[in-house]
Amino acid sequence: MRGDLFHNTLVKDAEAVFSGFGWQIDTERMVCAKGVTTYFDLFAWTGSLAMACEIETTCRHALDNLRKAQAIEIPLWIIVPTRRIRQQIQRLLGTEKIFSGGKPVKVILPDELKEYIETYMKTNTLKGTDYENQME
Amino acid sequence: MNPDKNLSELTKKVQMGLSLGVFKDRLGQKLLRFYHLGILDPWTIGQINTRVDKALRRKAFQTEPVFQEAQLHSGKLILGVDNKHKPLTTHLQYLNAGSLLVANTGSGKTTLLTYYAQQIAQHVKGMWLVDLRKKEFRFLRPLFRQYGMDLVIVRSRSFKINPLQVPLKVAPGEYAATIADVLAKVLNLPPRASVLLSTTIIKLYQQYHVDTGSRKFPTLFHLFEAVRNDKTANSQARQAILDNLEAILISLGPEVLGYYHGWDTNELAKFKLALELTGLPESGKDLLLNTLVASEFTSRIARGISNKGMDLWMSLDEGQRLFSQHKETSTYTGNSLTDLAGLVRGAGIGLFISVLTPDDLSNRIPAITSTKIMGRCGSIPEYMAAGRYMGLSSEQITWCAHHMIPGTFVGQIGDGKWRYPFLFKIPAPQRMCPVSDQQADQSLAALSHLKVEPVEFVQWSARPRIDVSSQQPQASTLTDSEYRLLKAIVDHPMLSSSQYVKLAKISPNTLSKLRPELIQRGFIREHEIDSGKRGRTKRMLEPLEAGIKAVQAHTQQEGI
Repeated sequence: MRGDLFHNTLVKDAEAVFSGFGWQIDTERMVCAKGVTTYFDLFAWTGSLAMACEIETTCRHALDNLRKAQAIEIPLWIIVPTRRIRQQIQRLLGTEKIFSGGKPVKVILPDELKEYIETYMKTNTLKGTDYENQME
Repeated sequence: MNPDKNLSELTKKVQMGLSLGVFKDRLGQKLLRFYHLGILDPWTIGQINTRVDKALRRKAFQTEPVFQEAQLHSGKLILGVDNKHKPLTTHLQYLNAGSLLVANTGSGKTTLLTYYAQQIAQHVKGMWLVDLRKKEFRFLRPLFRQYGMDLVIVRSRSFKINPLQVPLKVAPGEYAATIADVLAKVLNLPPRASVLLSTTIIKLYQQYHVDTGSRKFPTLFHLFEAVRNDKTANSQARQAILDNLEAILISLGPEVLGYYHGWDTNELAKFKLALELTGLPESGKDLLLNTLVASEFTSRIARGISNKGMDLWMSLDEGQRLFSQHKETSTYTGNSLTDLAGLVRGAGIGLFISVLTPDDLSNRIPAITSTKIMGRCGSIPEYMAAGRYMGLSSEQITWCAHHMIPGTFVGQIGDGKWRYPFLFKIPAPQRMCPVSDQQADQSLAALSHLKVEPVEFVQWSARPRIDVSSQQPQASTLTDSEYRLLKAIVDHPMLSSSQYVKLAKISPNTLSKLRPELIQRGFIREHEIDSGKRGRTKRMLEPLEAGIKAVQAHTQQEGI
């Protein structure tokens, strides 16, 4: 992985949480959709549900990551280690709800990831785009 | 009507003789038997008269005219010797009902305690010798070793205690109420704060799944945080808890109280321990002692131990301030330790309390201790107060005020047939080898097998936090603990900092001291991960290039 040790540790932790729910994971996986090719720290999918996760230890690349997720219309969760970084990113994103892939973009702490996945799986039906088939 | 009027002169003589102990020898027993059978020939009457008259004359001219000759000659505990240098003995189990020693400084109080401790240690499973002001019980270590026993010296900062740890076999709900009551008394909390404390403890037990059998207990630090975060609670009650608890947490620190699982008191009750509380604040001493006594007591009750013989003897030296009457009356809920002192007897715990003066001593202490001992006191009112505890006459009190010297004591045994006050002396103190702090710490190895699970409290470190610096790492050597910590971080990077306590085999306190230093020297970097809920921030440690090189250099240098 391209990040530093701390970044990579957070990626691994997030990977373990997704795997716990039976999701398939790829790290630093190239995603091609809607004519756009990009990379995400973590790309997780199960059946027809898919999710891109970006691990941010600073707020520098938050907007870039949002733009690339919106370009390929995929739900995005930004995982941050501290509340302070979360606040900074939320300030950058503005007060309006931001959507990507038809789902609101979430900025979450590692501890909250499990709860978010549970809720996400409960509230989303298995309809939608089959990302598995679209990935190259 | 005086019943003595109807008695014959001979009967009165026999009564006097019995109280003077003149019929204890073989011939005396025969004379008594003749008297009861009515064989009263002139020789028998002459013998009885001669014996009693002789004893009365001796009593009239003896130097200690006011005390009866002690008739204590059975049992294994030697209390001391009488004025004829005959040993006075009593049964060890009589001390189970509690003992009180009142004696001025320099009167031989500690010598008497150590003299008894040496004897009792051989007959009980556990012994807790609590030094509240000095460090004198540690000198018993070499003596105990001669008897094949190990006296473990626990210095004030070496305790590993979690007051919220549920003792063996005790139901968590039951213990929550007990420890809440104890804490309310130790912290001197008003009634509303006591209720808040109690409910918070119960909630914490639920949060930590203690009620469903988990053996990972919240600590007082968690309790503090839980109360602090409970914004809906009554603010005055909340503030009262925070103010009082913070003082204790800061003074004792994580090194004493920062353990999910501290020492089990039922395990400690199997050891001979010299507990040195010197240097701790009074509230800290109170908390530690209350935790130890309350945990062991509730555990014994839960295990169905009732009215058994004494197998744990606990001696509190210099307990003046701990059992203060002023403290008891000026607080909201009284003194917890005094309450417990009255209960422990039934659970096989013998308590021996020694104080300098009866002034300001809680009224309940003389009432709940059956054996009393008085040494040399400083003033007549003190002799009068201490003398009243054991029923001395004014003549006896006056005699004591004029004749008591160091090493001489007046005692009254709380059990057995013969319950009168008596005079006794103890042998001169033995010359004892000094025991250094280092040796004291080494003795703790005996407790190393006890289960302890530490918690690292970054925010509770007394040292200010040092931020990550951009300075170049200093080329300096590593100490042993620095090396162990750094190596653990290099070998196992990105773990939460508390996990390095076990890996590096260092104390949580050492970790909290070393971590900022290693950061400042550029050996490691610290990353914070906030908890999703209200828990503390998790700190992960990452080794840096300089740290990896430092470990390699140290390894080569030391040839490890």
